[in-house]
Amino acid sequence: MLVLSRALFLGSLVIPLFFMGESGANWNLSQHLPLVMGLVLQAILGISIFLFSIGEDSHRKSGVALGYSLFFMGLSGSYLSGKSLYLPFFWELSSLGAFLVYTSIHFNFAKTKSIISLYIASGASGIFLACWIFLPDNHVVGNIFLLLALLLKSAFSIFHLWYPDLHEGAPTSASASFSGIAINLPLLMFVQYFQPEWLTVLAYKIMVPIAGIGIFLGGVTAFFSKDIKKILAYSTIEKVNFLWLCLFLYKLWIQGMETEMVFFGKIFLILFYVTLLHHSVSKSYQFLVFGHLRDFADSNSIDYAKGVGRIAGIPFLLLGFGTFSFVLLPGTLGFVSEATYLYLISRVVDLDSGKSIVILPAMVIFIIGLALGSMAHSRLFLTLSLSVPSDELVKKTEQKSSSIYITYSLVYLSILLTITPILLSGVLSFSGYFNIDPGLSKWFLTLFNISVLSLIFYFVMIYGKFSHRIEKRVLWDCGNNYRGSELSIPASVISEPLHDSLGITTNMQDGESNFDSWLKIKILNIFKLGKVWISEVESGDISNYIAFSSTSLLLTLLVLVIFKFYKDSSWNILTILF
Amino acid sequence: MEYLNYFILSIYFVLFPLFLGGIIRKVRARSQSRRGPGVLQNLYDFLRLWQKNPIDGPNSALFAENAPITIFLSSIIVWSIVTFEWTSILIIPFFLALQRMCILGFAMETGTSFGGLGTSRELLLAICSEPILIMSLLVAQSKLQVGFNWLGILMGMLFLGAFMVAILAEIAKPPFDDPRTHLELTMVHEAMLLEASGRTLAYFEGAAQLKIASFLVLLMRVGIEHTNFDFRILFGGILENLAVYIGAIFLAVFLGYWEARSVRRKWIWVPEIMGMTFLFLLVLGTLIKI
Repeated sequence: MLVLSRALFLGSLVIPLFFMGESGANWNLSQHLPLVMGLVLQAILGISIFLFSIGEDSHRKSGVALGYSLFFMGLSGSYLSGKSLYLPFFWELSSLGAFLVYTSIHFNFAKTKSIISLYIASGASGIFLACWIFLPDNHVVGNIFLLLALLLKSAFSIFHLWYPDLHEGAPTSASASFSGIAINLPLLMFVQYFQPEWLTVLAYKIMVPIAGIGIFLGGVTAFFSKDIKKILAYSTIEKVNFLWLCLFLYKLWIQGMETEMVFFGKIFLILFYVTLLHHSVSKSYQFLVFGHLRDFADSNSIDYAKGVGRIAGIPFLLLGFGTFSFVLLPGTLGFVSEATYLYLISRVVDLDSGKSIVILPAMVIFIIGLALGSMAHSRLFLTLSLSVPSDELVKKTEQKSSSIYITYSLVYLSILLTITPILLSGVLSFSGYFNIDPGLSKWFLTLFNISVLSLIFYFVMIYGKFSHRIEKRVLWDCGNNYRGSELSIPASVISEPLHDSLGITTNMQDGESNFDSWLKIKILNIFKLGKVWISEVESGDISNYIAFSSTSLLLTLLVLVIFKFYKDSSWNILTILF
Repeated sequence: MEYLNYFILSIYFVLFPLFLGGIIRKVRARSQSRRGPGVLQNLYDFLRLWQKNPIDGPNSALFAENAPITIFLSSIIVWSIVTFEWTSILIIPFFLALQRMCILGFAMETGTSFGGLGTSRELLLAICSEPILIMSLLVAQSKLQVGFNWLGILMGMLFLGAFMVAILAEIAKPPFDDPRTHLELTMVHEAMLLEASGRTLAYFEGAAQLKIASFLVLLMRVGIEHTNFDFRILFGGILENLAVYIGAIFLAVFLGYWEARSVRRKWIWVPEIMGMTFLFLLVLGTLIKI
């Protein structure tokens, strides 16, 4: 049974690639690049999830493998279904697969909350998608439903409330799959199916700042959060909003008449693909590494788990690969992505003043969110991997060890992280497909050269050890024979000095997001409206009940009448935006 | 003329970092009525330390072995970009990120409270200074020109002043850091290097000198290349480079005097002044663009 379910798991990653022709999609990149990219990324990254799930601690291994095969089948089906009835079916199949993965671990409050979050988001977005499918092509309302479904499923700003809760209790491999693989689906579907003219210029101009706010809030909250999984979840929100920003700018400018802005639209699409690749590979890595360290310490608290990387039995260098990409070291995927963004902004600076004055400040402010996001990853790596663990943690984990399959999974991903920047910058500089501007090609060639040289440099440094080799260690005894654990610092020491100046309006002292907490309370209050209403009357007062029900009925009728008589004008309100 | 220019640049490339930090130390000492060390003292210190084997702590590992030379070599790369302009200066923040990651890793890996304290402060400075630095480099990369008139000069000076704030944070100078002290209340850069010794310390100190040279020359280059007055009409680029490097020496003199006369400010002040500088630069950049 175990072998069969694992074979199914691997099959679910590879077989969909052979069904592209059957579904009407094909390998023609100019037509179906989003679908090809989604399926290929899923197949490549899915192998790391496969290896990790073998090594992950669970009491129902075959159930997990079966769950993942359904999960990936669901995602593949969603890519290939197009606008058909199969889409909501496959959409929900992936959630069902995730449920099977969850059953392999013992349920507690966090895990229950996690799966409820997944089902609320997946269910609501599935319903929206069904509405899009049943409405005629190019119907305004149908387009709205499609957009809502994709925004919700990808945890776009304001729609993201379910996302941190999802990761807080999810199994590590599932978290990596959600953040590194599943989140690509709505974004790539938007590129493939959503026509630029379906939203008006005004609507795009509203969505862009919302995405910008998401970048900033995601970055700040990731930096101040004290929960390992939530740090990565908010970092995902920050990156997803950046991806949406690229997409909205692409769709906004591509429909314009000015050649210069159409060109910028195209570059933003390229930036989207580069950043998506960076996010998928690097974030999968981060979730697998730090999720494993979280499981090893058996605590979500970043302060409690300080230094767990030193005792988890994973090679030191492997713990840092994802972080090195997020802190933008030359030669990493993060470097290729952010350097391209900087290049784009530098081109915007040279636009004529009317345009650049509007665009430039916003672009630069987004850098703050991105910088904070990368610092959040530094904070994770420095304290979890480099700090010295407490004696209590060492004692608690002395019987534990990390499976070799977890190391295999990380080695596989680290090879991907090493070669992808070179391949990506090479393809972008030498391929004619992306050759839309000589300056841009030259820029990618620069990135390619620097990536190659940097990787040679790192390899020579690490294996040559030119600085020196450690031969003798000496303890600097301060008088009490301290060995480090008493003095090593937790993550809060890094973030707390900034809280009063930068985080006081966005985060609470315990690291939770102020905005998210406020929004959740408001949403819950809407659901509690009936409760408030009932509390106003004495129990058993029939006349009051009748009055309330009559009022509700009349209000409903009133709304229907308004829509009936002012149908055209009400749709006109919508057509301002759509 | 072009080859002569490259030859002169190569001389600058080799010699400049050797004495620029020494000038700062000399001026600082003179400002405090002391004789001070010679301008080549940093070079002597580097050579003396380089000959000694480092001592490693019980927690030292990957970063202790690789960070020092990686920082040193990446500083040479940044210095070469600034000197020869062989690639876009937008690449510089990424090599600075490499240096930062290496020094943070080294400090945290030792597992001491000083290393942790320095790491925390360095990250705070990085978060605050990075946006200013990137914005300044974006402007430096652009084709923006300020007029060679009073208004243009005023705007340019204000811009360079704001850029200088980020540079002071990057090169560990007051009011953000105070390399003269070894007090836990004031240290940032020094706190991270407390466990470094011998050759390891030599590489870190050498990298710091290269970083100072890179930023001072970069600041002058931005200032000179973005004015309407074209230095290249006289002797190709030689006059322009001469102006840049003489200007950088003047900046080093100013920095020595500044270091002697100022102190490190308290930490809660840092994010506020950096935030204000960022907004100021944003408004100023917009005004220059208009």
